[in-house]
Amino acid sequence: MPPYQLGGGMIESVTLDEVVWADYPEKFEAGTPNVAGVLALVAAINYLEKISLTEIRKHEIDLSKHLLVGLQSMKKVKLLGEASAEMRTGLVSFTVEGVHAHDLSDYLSKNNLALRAGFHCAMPLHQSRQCGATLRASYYFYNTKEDLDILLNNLVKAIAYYG
Amino acid sequence: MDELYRSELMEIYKDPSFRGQLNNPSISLEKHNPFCGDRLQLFLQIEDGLITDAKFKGDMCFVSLIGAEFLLAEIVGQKIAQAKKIDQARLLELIDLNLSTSRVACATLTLQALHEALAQYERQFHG
Repeated sequence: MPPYQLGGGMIESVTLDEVVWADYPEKFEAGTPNVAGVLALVAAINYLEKISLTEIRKHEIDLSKHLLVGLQSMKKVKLLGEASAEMRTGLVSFTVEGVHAHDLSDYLSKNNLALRAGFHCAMPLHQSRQCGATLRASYYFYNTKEDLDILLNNLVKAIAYYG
Repeated sequence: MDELYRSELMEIYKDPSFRGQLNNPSISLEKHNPFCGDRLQLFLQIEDGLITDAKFKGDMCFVSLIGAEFLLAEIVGQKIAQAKKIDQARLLELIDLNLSTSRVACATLTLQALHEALAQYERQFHG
């Protein structure tokens, strides 16, 4: 089987007429491995384990609860999906009646809030829900309830601005 | 962006002049923006090669709607040949918004619909 990709460190010898491939696995490992990436991954894993994955998940659920309560109290907001905080990863997708998702994300971005707007690479899912572009807020252990309050307050302002 | 200009656009957004539909249009055309789900329907009234009226309707974002309003204000009263000359650069100059690449598609949705509608009209009536 010929290698799909060519690069350094994969041959025994090369002449103008022929190549003798190195033995497996080198034959299929062209070029320099991503050593810096591997070391960074180890550092990232150590970092997360030091904080504790259980603590991170607990914090994420607390944030989801806080955001869901905040969004559900807003009349024009419609959540996508009914999953509880415990059943979610750290994100919530929603729409706002009468205001386009891209307009909202534009407004929010001017207030340092980065939300994804659009179909999120899942157009068939949006079609099945019969909706256009949606907004998605995502958060993690480095976010706080105060961050989410800033989002909720700006969302109220954005709705008033476009409404 | 200049706040004064932004507030002028906001007034247009909240009370658009060209939103609506024509009952017996010379041509109407539907156009979608697959990136955000915007749906637009464009109606044109054409008499003796002159665009005498134009309307649009649909679910559109602020940028799409502003693009539609400026474009239709420009073409009503124009000859088809003149309207066909309006390109993306000209429309972006008219609306004068600092747009990211992805939102240029929003701004020009109506322009694409216009070009398609005029081509279709010419094929139907002069083909």
